[in-house]
This record gives sequence, C-alpha cells and structure tokens, in this order.
Amino acid sequence: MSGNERMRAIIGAAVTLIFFVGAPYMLPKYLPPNIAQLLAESGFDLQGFINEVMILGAVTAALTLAKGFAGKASPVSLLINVAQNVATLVFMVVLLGAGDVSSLGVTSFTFSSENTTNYMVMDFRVFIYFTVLTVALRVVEVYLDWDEARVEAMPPGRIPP
Amino acid sequence: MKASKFLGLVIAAVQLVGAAALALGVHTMIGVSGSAFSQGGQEIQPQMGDPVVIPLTLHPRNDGFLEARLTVSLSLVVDGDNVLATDSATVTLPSGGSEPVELELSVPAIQFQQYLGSSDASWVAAVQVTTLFDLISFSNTMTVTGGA
Repeated sequence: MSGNERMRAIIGAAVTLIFFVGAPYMLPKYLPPNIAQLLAESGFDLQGFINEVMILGAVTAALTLAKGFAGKASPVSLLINVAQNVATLVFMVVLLGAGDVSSLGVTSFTFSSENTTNYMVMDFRVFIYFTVLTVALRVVEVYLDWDEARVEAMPPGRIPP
Repeated sequence: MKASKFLGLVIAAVQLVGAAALALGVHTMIGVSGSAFSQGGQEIQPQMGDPVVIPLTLHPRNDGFLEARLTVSLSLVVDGDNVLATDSATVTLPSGGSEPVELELSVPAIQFQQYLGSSDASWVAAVQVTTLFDLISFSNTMTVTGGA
C-alpha cells in the first residue's frame, strides 16, 4: 500500500466526516425557525434523523480510512468494500424513509393547523429496490476487482486457484 | 476491457438513470399535486335543493416531464367516520397536459341543514399522484373540520 493511497484514504475519510458528521451536527443551529417548527409539528424526528446520518457517516469514514491501510488483495479489503456498499444501501433507506429505516421507502407526515389536518404519504420503494440492485452489482464489481488484485499480487509463475 | 471495469460502467449508467428518474418523478409529482388545488380559493358553492348538490371543479396541470395519474376524492364526513357523500375521479395527465376534474356531492337537504356549520362534520379531500410508470406516488389527505 503506497503512501499516496494512504493519504487519499485519510483525505477521503476527513471529507466524509465533514459532510456526514460535521455538517449534520451543525444543521439544527442554522435551520430557519419556521422550518424547524414545521418539522416538529409534522412529527418528524429531526434529531433522530441527524443522528442516523452521523452514525453512518462515522462508519463510512472509518471504513474509508481502513481501506487505505489494507492491502488491495487482502480479504480485509474485500470485506471493507462490501461493508461500504451496505452502508450506502442503509444510507439510502434512511434518506428515503426520512429517518425511519423500517418504512423501507414509504414516508408519511402529518401536519395539523387549527381545523385542518394534512396526512401525506410518499412511496419511494422502487428506489430502495433500485439501490439494492446497484449495491448488489457493486459487490460483484468489488469482488472482481479484489480477485484481479489477488492474482496480480501472486508471485510470478504461481497459478491462481 | 476488464470485467470489473465494464461492470463499473454499467453500474454508473444504472445509477445515472435512477437519479434522473428520481428527480423527474419528484418534479412531476410536486407539480401535479400542487396544481390540483392551486386556485386556493376553491370555493365550494352548494346548489340548494333536495338533494343539495355540491360541485367542485379542479384544473390540474402537469408541468413535469413524465406522464402522471391523478386521483382526487372529496367526501363530507360526519361523526368521525360516517360518510354523507363522496365522489372521486381519476385523470391521466400527459407531460405538459391539463384536464379538468369535476366532482359532485349530493347530500339530502335535511342532513345538509343538520350539519351546516356543525363541528361534527368535516370535509376530506384526498389527492394522489402516481408517476414514473406508477412506480412512485404521493398522496395528501386533507381533513377540514367545521362543517358543511
């Protein structure tokens, strides 16, 4: 593993931390009060949503960092790549479910004001299936990448199993 | 070309299509659902008689890039779940298209008088928009309490 790749992993992890941990952490302070009130009235758990994004961001940053220090041909590298793709899937489920992982892409909100109640439902399940498909393809891709790296890392003349 | 590189290109294309579909679908849904009651002052003017006829005409537009199906329903509900009158209509709006939706509720005059201004009565208006080949949908059920 070259120093260049390690440096890239460190920068990648830092950027992930800034965007998916730092920015969400600061978000409530900069949210306009009327939007915050609207979200609170709708029953949307903003803090819970932010916490989920931050946890996923921290996990992804850790995986990015670990990937930079693991040999490309090592089984650890393969596991990290698969875990990163699973984290992407979880992130999409959290995003499309507005923080509710169990909703699997079907999000509902209720807004009430004086004598009016609005009950909204958004069905984005197809994008969850879509993400599952792309993540599955990504897992195949990282396996193929890892297998190629493993063959290349073998001593000359060695026949790969 | 290596198999993993080819697969990477396929995945990139699939993701691009997915992102475009999400953006276009959401744009269409927001536009159509917003236009359904966009006139704001959709005043419901009952035509007195027996039964009392309550007409409502909507003019939804589809300014999005995908075809959308709009289902609108209007109900007059009393005592929580007793539906006095209801009507619904479904229209298919092509991209850039518009089609009027006409709903009409008929309420027996005696019941209309009974619940006029009553807090036990409520209007329930529901709008559902499905697009992207019926794969994604948005619905809004609005309940206004405070009588006929």
